[in-house]
Amino acid sequence: MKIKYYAYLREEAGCKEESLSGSFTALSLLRFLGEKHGPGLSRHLLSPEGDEIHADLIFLLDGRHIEFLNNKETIIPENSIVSLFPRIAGG
Amino acid sequence: MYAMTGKLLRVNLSSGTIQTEAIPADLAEKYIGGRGLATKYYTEEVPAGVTALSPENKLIMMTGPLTGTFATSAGRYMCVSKAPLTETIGCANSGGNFGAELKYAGFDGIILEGRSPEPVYLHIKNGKAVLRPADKLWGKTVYETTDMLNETHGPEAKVACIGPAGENGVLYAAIMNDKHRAAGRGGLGAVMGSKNLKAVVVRGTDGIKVADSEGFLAACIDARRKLRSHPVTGTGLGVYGTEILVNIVNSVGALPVHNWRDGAVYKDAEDISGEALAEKYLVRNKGCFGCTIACGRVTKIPNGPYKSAGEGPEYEAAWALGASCGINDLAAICKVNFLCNEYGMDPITLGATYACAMELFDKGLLTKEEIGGPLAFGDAQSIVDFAVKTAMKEGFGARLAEGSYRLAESVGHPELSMSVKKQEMPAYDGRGAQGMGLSYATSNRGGCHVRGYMTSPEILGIPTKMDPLVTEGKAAMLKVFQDLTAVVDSAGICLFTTFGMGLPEIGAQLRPATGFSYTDEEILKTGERIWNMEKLYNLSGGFSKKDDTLPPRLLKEALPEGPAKGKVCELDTMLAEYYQVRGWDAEGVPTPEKISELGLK
Amino acid sequence: MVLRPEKCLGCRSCELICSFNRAKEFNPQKSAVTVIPYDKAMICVPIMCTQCEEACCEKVCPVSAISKDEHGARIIDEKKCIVCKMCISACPLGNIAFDGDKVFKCDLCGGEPNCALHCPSGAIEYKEALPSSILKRKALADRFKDVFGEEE
Repeated sequence: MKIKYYAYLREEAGCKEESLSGSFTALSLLRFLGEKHGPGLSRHLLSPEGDEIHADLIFLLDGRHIEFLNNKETIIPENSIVSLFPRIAGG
Repeated sequence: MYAMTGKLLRVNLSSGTIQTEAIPADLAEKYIGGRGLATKYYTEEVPAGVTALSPENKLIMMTGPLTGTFATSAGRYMCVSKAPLTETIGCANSGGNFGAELKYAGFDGIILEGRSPEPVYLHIKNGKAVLRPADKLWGKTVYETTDMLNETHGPEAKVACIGPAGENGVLYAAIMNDKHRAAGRGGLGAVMGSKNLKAVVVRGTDGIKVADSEGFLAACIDARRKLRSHPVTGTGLGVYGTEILVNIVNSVGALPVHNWRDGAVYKDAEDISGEALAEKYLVRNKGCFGCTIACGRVTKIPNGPYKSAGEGPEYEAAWALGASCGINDLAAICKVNFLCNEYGMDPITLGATYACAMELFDKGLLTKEEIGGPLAFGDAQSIVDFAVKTAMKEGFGARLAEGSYRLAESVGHPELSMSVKKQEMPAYDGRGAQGMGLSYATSNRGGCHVRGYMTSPEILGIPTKMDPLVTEGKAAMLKVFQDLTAVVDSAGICLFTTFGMGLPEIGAQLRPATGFSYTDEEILKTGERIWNMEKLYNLSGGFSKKDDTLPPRLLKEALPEGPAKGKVCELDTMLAEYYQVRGWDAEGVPTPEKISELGLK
Repeated sequence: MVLRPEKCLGCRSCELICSFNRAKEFNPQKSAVTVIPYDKAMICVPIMCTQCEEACCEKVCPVSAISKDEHGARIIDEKKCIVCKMCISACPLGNIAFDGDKVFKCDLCGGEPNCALHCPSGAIEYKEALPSSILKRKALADRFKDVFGEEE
């Protein structure tokens, strides 16, 4: 699976994208990435208690918001693309 | 009156007479100001059948009660007229410093009537206004005009003006202010040009007082604090600007490519993204008057063939000149954006018109001889070359200056213009974001994203998350967005505040400012009133349900790839529900009950 | 006051809150701070009284209406001021003005300057008593701390 970071998540992750293998749900993936890249990233990915996805994180699985899939329990397939955005906007 | 000056300037350009008139307090309370008040004056004074570029048309510039105060992002003013591009009611909103200065000069707004026999500009200083000859300014760019007027009238004077595009009647010419800010869409710059009015220069040293100083200050501080602590308005927009949207809209499969012909996933989205701009060409961010969000881009291309500097581009302009034209050269896109500011025209319509021309060329409906040079998808140089030609209506530029609808129609294929009511839809595919499709179809000023910004819930999850691929709930949410936006545009603050705050904060600032006691519900009702007023005007101008539609491409050609693969825009379902939610009949006409409920005629 | 013009957004919130605080109206003419925009240089610079150690305004005042308060601000005693406007001529930096009623200048708002409080970007900051060179040294020291110090 590919993880793509956007906006300032790139600075915190130290990269624009990375490849991963493994069996993850949305939440367990974020925990994994948080542990891998440190608290600088993790505080944008997870709620302060660490048990929920951060309210300000936009998590897309192959372009679909996980709120419309299975939320934090959404299974992340091996060949999927995960796109992570902090809450941002324009117009 | 508090917050507002209570005074309008009425300028008859045919006779050269200028009068000051009072704004009745009950009108100010009922329509708030800005867009609402301007539309009220406009629809009462100008019959719907008027020709946009004729002397009978009027152009109204109007600030809101909060403009020029410490309220959140309170630098906005509105231009209202019939839009030459669409012939609907046109309103274009702008920031910068001009609006605030107009209030410090003692006026809430200006009504411009008739046509001057010679090019003139309007000079306003502390309650006095004079028309002066603009023969030396005519033909000059926006930057030159502004600099020359500042030379004459002092560096603190604020200038709103047209560039050559407005003088030449480009149907999407803009009214620029403070050099880099634009009342951009619909061609109101051409209206100003048709009146031989080159510029409005304002200098004001009076102040604005509010009804309840302590209450107002507290409300402003509270709202500002909310904006500064919100991720979008506090950091996101300031750091990355509106182009931050490129990657996320692309990721959900809603970034239209090649005049919406080739789906909505752009392989080079990253190259034209806000991240790329911040990395490569951004000098710093900048705020309009009183604005803590400061999403403005101060941009410099330091070298290369497109070496230039200026402000922008914004997201929709970057899409129109970028993904829609298949162009990934950010420097070229910036250069064209600067040219649009300099010559005074809308980069969204320009880019979308280019894209249409590129598709027509691809199909052999336009020939190389007609165009007079390359204008093909992916050709970055061509979008630069044709920008000035369009502003000056030179060669093929004269056809581009009419916008994509008239261009496509001239070769017998109007359906290849990706527009609604002849105004090009910006950068969110209505097949990938159903609510945006409905928004385009129903906007009172044609294909417009900003008057009902469904992208906010559908893609960004603000204020609540809605699935972009479904139609459920979209009509009701759109009505709220359209009404609330009308409120924001009337109050004189920036729409972007609504990413970080809502109606309560708007009401909390409006009430102590003006001293009026309208509740939040009544304020939102005013938004609905304004929306209906615009709708009724369009209807009396001959628009009807058949115009509340989308190009066949969105209704019939399913997206070929991406997360929204297989989707068309299911407009019919949503439209029927939208009319219902609006309290209109099945033909989209406000019922007598609704009209009476809103206190309209 | 510490000014960092490279952070200035040109929003003029400082002008608004200053004039409102002083005169209960929004009027940049009545603000003691002014933002000077430079279009071609692509920068905006906020300017207010620099609270000179050798204050010309204080020296020139014929009625000794200007003095230094406990925050180091030169303040005008309105009861003594005769509005002769000599201080306006005397100030080499243009930081005293006449608003049609009174002579006014930045008085640091009694120790909590509103402009700094409301500046959204930190272009104007109020750091009491520390000379700014120490602040810059500290910024450098912070880097060493981050690299070599213990995790906080």
